[in-house]
Amino acid sequence: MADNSIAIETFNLTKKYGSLAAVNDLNLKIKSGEIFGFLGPNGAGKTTTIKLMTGLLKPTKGTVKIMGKDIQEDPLGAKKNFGLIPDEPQIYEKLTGIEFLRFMGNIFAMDRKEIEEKIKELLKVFDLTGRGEQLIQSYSHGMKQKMAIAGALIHSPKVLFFDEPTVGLDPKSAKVIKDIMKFRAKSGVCIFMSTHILEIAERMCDRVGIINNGELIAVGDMDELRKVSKEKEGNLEEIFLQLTGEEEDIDIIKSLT
Amino acid sequence: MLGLLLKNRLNTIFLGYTRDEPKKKAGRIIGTLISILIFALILYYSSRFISFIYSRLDTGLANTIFDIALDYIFMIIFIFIIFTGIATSLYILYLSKDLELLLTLPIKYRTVFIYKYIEALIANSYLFFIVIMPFLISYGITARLPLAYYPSMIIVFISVVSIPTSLGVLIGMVAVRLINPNRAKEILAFIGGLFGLLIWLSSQLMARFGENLAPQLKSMSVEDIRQYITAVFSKPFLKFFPSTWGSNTLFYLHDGNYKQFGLNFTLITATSILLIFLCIVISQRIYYLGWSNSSQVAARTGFKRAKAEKGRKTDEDGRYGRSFFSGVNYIIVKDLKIILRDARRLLNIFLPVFMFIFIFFWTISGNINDRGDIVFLLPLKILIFLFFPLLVAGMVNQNISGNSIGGEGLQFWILKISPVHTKKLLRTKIILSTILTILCGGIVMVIFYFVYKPGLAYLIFGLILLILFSWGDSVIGTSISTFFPVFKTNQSSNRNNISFVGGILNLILFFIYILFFAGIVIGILFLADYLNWSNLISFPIIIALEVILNLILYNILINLSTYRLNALEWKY
Repeated sequence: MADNSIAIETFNLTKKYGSLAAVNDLNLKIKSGEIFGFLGPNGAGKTTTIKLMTGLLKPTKGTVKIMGKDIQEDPLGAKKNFGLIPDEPQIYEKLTGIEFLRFMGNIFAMDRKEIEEKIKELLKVFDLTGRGEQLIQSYSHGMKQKMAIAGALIHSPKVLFFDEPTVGLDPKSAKVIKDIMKFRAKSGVCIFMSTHILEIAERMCDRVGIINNGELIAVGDMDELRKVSKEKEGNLEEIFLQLTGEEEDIDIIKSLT
Repeated sequence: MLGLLLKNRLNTIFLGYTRDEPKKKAGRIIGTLISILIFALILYYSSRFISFIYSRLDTGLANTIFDIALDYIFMIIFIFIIFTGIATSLYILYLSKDLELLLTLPIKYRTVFIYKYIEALIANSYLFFIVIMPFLISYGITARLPLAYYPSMIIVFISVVSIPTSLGVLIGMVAVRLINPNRAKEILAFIGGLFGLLIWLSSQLMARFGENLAPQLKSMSVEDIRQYITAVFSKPFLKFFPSTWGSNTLFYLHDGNYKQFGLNFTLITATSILLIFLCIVISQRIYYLGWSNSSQVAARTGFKRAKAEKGRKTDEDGRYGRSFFSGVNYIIVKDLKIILRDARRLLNIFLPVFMFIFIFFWTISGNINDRGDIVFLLPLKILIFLFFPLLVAGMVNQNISGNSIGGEGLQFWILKISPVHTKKLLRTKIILSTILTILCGGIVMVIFYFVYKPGLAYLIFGLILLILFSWGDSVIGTSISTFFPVFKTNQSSNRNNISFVGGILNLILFFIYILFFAGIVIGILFLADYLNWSNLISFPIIIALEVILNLILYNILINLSTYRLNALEWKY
């Protein structure tokens, strides 16, 4: 880890829909240069947490700070510092890849020369050099995902939020994204990643947080997670299943078969 | 390379006569012989008919008849070819069998599209060549026109058929952006059927009209008949048909009016060349943006390759200057690009312009001309000139600013997480709406300027009012769109990206705003009339008051919208 300053900090972060708490009293501190895996079953509150952290949703209670800037109090200051890659690459289909990246560079107030240089670099990294002039609507799902990532990276953010980063990607593209995450983290970027793929989380993340029914039930590195769970020798999958209570489901399934 | 392609096409046609199946071969030969026979028969009978008219009728009356006949014949060809041009564009581009092959060959893509255009032009016009050309030749021979008539006639004919071909191809290409080419073919057949029905109905009406006309004509003098025919058939809309420039070229040559001949000849040929060029460039562009099949991928690769090469040639230093449209304002560029590439949204914006102009000219414009002497503070014509474009601009604005936030679709999250102040974001949306609204209102105003000729001072005043009105209405529409947006998967999946309530509210507020806006104009004009102020005093006061009204609106609504947009949660 290149930098130990706090990149993401949440304090009693809560989001309620009526009586249902989608996220409840979430307290997290994630350092710069850290890859943080955010795990949880479907509907546990992972995407809601990312949306709260990026200002797409307003918290019912609590605060989020990105690089020390409160997303509610100083949204522009906070937003300058992060990039978001959502699970579904919803980007402007009627723009070409290059136009989209140019647009992203412009709204992050980058210099034109810098934008053009970054575009060349990103297209090369994502193997999209020959496709940059084509409309995004003609791209495959994986290419759109790569373009969304390129768009999030263009302004060299200090924090990157990935929501299910490898969904729909071929193994080569998935590898590129994993390499980018590692490389960026080494250069001091904080990576906050929600994922279902436990192998990726186990292999890549410095620390992992597990959320279930809106509550953060465990957080720490693999050793710390093992201490919390009863799985003293287990891998992340076993820890996850044990902590989220899904081992009981497996027993039921076994009894049915 | 183009010559080679055309030669190859001619060879294919020629081989059809020699190497095809015996049945098809016989069919082609019989068809060709019939065409030659029709050409000869029309040549013979039309020259006899023209001689008959000129020998039996007064020369002035005969000239009037032929002038009008040429106008109408060319106009019918013009309209007909627009329809056939749409069909041809589908068959020659989207549904053609050889285009995919051609685009994979080492030929410039522009050459392929020029070749395809020539193919479309010939396919569209060869029937008219067989039917009209002998008539035009007969006209030249019978009227003993100078030799210059014949090359002019050929150039005019090519121009008259090329303009609707270009328009038809472009309309066809745009249609394919909206619907599948195969579906477009069926829809086109339906429209063609309707058009045929319309022609049949018109012929029935014309026959009745002729029956009623004959007894009336018998009792009239030659001059009366000439004036009657001119009054019935010389409609003002004919002047706007490029086909009329073609028929005028031939008529003025016959008449010996070389100044008018030169003017019309230049007009028709220049329009034709411009449209051919635009058609080739735009059709390639639209083709590239259209349905994705392998040939289009090839076309777009070629198109983009050429564009990229051109881009590289530009001066590197010149590319990196700061401009108004950089930074946050790049949102305007982004929105313009998206709108221009989305035929459905373009239609939403420009359709009201054409619809209102059409309705206006076919309903009340004549009455206004007849009652030009009515003055209500300003002459009626001036009032119409000043306010009708505002009404059109306002209707257009409903589809632009009303959709500005919802029009972002499910991509709105990008703006939501970007470090752009919401007020600035709204400002860019208002600028875009204002620009497009001014453009649409401006088209109407310029057309009205040439119809009513109000003078330069009113044009400037009208344009300032249009700019102010577009700005104010864009502020209202954009604000409403922040309160009632409807986010859909695709920006163009539906007509409106504003809720029903929002749409209605937008419309109501537009009417209230235009009442206030027009109230200021009328109120100050009334005051000026009472106090004997000149326009030099009243017009600046009107402009100043409209600016104040807009500033009040802007400051109230933009703050409300900013608050609303900041509070908007992205749950999609």
